[in-house]
Amino acid sequence: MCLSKIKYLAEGLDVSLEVTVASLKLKHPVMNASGILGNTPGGVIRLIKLGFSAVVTKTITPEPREGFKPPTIVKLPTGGLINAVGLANPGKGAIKELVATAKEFQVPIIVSIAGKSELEFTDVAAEAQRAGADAVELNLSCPHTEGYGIELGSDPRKVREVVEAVASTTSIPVLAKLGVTDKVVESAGKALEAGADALVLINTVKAMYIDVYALRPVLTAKYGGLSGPPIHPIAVRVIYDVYKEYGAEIIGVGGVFDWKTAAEFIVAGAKAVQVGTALASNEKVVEEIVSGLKEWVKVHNVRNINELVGAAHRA
Amino acid sequence: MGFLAGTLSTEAYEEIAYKFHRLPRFSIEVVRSGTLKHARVVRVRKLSRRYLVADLKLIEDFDVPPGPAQFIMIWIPGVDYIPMSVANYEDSTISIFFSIRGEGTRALAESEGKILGVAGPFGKALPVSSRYEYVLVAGGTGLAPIIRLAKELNELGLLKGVIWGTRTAEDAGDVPSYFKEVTGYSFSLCTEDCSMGFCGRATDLASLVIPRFKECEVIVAGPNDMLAAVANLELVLGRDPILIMESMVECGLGLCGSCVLGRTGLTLCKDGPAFRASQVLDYLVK
Repeated sequence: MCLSKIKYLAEGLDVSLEVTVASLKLKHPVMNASGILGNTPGGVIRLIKLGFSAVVTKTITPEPREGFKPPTIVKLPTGGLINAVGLANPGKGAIKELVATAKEFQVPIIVSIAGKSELEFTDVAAEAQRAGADAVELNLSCPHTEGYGIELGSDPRKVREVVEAVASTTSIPVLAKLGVTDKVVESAGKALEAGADALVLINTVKAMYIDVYALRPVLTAKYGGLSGPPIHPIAVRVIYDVYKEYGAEIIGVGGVFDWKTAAEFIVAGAKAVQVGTALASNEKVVEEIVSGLKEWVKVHNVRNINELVGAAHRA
Repeated sequence: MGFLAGTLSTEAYEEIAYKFHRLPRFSIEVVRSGTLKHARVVRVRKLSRRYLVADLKLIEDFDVPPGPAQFIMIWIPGVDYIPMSVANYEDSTISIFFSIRGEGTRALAESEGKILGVAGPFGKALPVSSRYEYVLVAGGTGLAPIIRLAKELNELGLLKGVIWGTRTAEDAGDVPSYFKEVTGYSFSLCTEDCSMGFCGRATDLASLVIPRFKECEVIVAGPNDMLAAVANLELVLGRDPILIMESMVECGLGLCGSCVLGRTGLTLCKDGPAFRASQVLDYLVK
């Protein structure tokens, strides 16, 4: 009698998707990926309306950058997107208004930052902290803009230096976003040693799309970052490896387009996920992932999604 | 923990299968639409000093044909990637009504015989209802989406009037005859310098004409100040016209943020380009 009553009660209870990652309390684990919409107050409002539990800004550098000429983002016939926006952004002067907009709606905001040197990173991070941002995400892996990103991220020593510089000069949580490289597990370790509160894995993957009529690369920048479902299995592998090695807090990103692809990241070791490319095809993607994850949590007979984080390592 | 323990009964598996089946699913096919296709520019006609029309024959068809008010992105290799409204679509041929405003449109004007990239259709198609009759108002290249709408509405017998405004008679040139050729309907021409047709802007004539068509749906396309003017006029009359907006579109996918309409949080490329005036008035008058 007792057992069946408990089961009945458990079915009636709503499960919790609340997660805490890098000390940020989120009502569910789905935030947007950096680079999507978060470059104007209107874009931040749109992200909030789309249902994300936290907003990540477009990557911001100290000075405004114009970026490349269009085409900068195109859909691929093989699935996913390729982009080379060239870190176009309004510069650190825009952070205050972006943060204030998210605060108005009481949604946590993470400022994504990049720089050519440790000094540029710490400069933008300080501005984000002053503006009241909830965290900074260090873009250590932009694959298409020279001097920024991937050169940094593929050198574990440099990752350590940048993360250390930011973590030692700011008091808000620091997230380190790394791309897929041969040394990604080592870089992740260095970022954690240097004081990163969580890792964001992975960035887009350096790629190219050539048009066979025009006989030239489609993107103005020639090279771009591949995103969407084609990179999802790569992200799963990286999350799995990094979680296995360090048991670190991870935010998974790369090709999530439904609850299953999100759940896979969680099982591999991610506490939260970021979604970008999927929005191009489905603007209800956040609510679909959230409702799907709730059912999934119930199916596994647990009350809290946290119990499923890294479950693949216990199988 | 469910699967992980590896001790589930057959019934439990069936229950899981049932629950998973009920979860929202999402087709990967949708992900593939909107990729770059190719089209040959079969003809570029100069209709007047200011306006041109380019006919692009698709080599690979779109996954779905472009609907009224939808737009495409045209890739002119090595030059630009520009948003263009579809003025006509027939036999896999897209007609683009445009003026030269920058490098991209200049290259398009000189692209006869070339193969270009085209992606789309983007934006929401504007549904046409047989419950209404329609009055259409356009300024300048805002005429592009109005051509396609007028053609469809005229075929359905729902068109009550079309007003188009430009600067001078020289700008108008062969545009009136092109409009008649495609839509089978003649518009009322307005020129700002009073050299032809009604003396004044399209909005001036609209303010005289629209109040007489109380039951009509009003659709306006043109620059923002013109849209705001008609919207104010109409809202005063207690009506909520449809505005087809122009804005900087860079990706067409709702991702880059360049066509976000201020604090409305709407994007032109996903939610538009056609909006009810009440949705975007705050943005237009800001």
